[in-house]
Amino acid sequence: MPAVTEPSDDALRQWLLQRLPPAEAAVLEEQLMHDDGLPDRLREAETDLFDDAARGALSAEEAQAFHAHRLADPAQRDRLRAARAWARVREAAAGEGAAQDFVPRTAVHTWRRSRAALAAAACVIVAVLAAIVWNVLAPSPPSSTIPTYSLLASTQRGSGPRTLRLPASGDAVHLQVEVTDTTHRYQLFVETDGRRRQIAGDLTPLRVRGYDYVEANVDAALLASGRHRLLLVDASNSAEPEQAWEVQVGEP
Amino acid sequence: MNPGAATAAGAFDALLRRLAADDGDPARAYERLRERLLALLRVYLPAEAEALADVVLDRLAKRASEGVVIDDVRSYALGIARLVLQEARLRASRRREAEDDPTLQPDPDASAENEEAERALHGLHACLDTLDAASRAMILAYYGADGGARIRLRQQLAQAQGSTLNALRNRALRLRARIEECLRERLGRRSL
Repeated sequence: MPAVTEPSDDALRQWLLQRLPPAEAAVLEEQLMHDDGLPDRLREAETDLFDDAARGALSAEEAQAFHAHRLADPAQRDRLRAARAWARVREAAAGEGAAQDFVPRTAVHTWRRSRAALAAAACVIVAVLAAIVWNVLAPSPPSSTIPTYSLLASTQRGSGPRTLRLPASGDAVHLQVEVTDTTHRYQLFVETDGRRRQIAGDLTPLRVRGYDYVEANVDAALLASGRHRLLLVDASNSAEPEQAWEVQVGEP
Repeated sequence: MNPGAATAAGAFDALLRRLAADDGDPARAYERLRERLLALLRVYLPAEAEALADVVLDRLAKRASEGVVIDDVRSYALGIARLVLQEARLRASRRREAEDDPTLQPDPDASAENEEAERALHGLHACLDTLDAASRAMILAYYGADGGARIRLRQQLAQAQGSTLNALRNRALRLRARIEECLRERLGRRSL
């Protein structure tokens, strides 16, 4: 068998959805029979596909193919049911993780969990993610004493924004917001009761240890007690926010 | 033993002998071949993968017992699998025409399934609790990202553990299968 390139995750996904051209599928069939690592990768691609389907994160075309080709099997429907349960566990963890990700570094020890009933699973994922994402990726905080929150970009398609919970301190905060494209300029907005106010415009991404982000100070007046949305907008395409986070200041 | 069973047993032995020529452990080689066939067939017809894999292996064994020269067992098995898939699709197509049955399954999000979803969530928590803390943390972290962040996170996890991505993937898949099996048992289902 001639040497072939390793298939991408997306190729495996499209194969599982039976959306690959026959010639490409035939190549994968050969590889699956001969490449010792491919069965595991295929199984992983399938698991990730179920996880994304469970979170409604498939495109319309993918969702249709998923229903048509994967869910014809009762065992696969059970896998989807399990994936939905995984998604809910993750959702709980992500809410907590989001808050943990954005713990102000000047007040780590004073931050309190807002949801007492979080599962133990949530705690452990937070521990791991906090260790990896926070310590490895996040840039250094500014030298001032303003609490700093780092907002990590979410790549979840079709999923709702994560909720950050900030204490109602009445202080300004410093935001470091992860971006996905360093060639773009960005704007930050806070939206309260449907009213959008700009925090900063024409922000140029910075890079620290592979973490691309923009940063800005948010005046305390923009983050009064209550619920807000924080919006990251590509300055060249201001119609739709690139990322959005729910922000709860103080107790809901 | 009736003649049919004796023939099948003879064919199976012939297949094992052929596999032994490639691999000193024919039983292991047989299992690995079956797993690959299952993985392949699950891509196309997951509901019938187990049954179709058996058909492929039976035909392969028959060819081996007939003295057919099989240079590459896996490629030969793939050829048979493609034919078997073609036949199964044809049968399914005829069945659909006869039943005029819609292909798409009903939306599993229907409210009637809410209770079951709660049971699944409760069951998953219970199954996760059977893992030690480190394993639980690993499996939740491993499946804790989406899209482009997914591979990056997994690479970071592997690095943090001083492991390779492949080794971590293997461990995560085994743990996930174990958890899903636990959940299947709790929900009284066939397989996840």
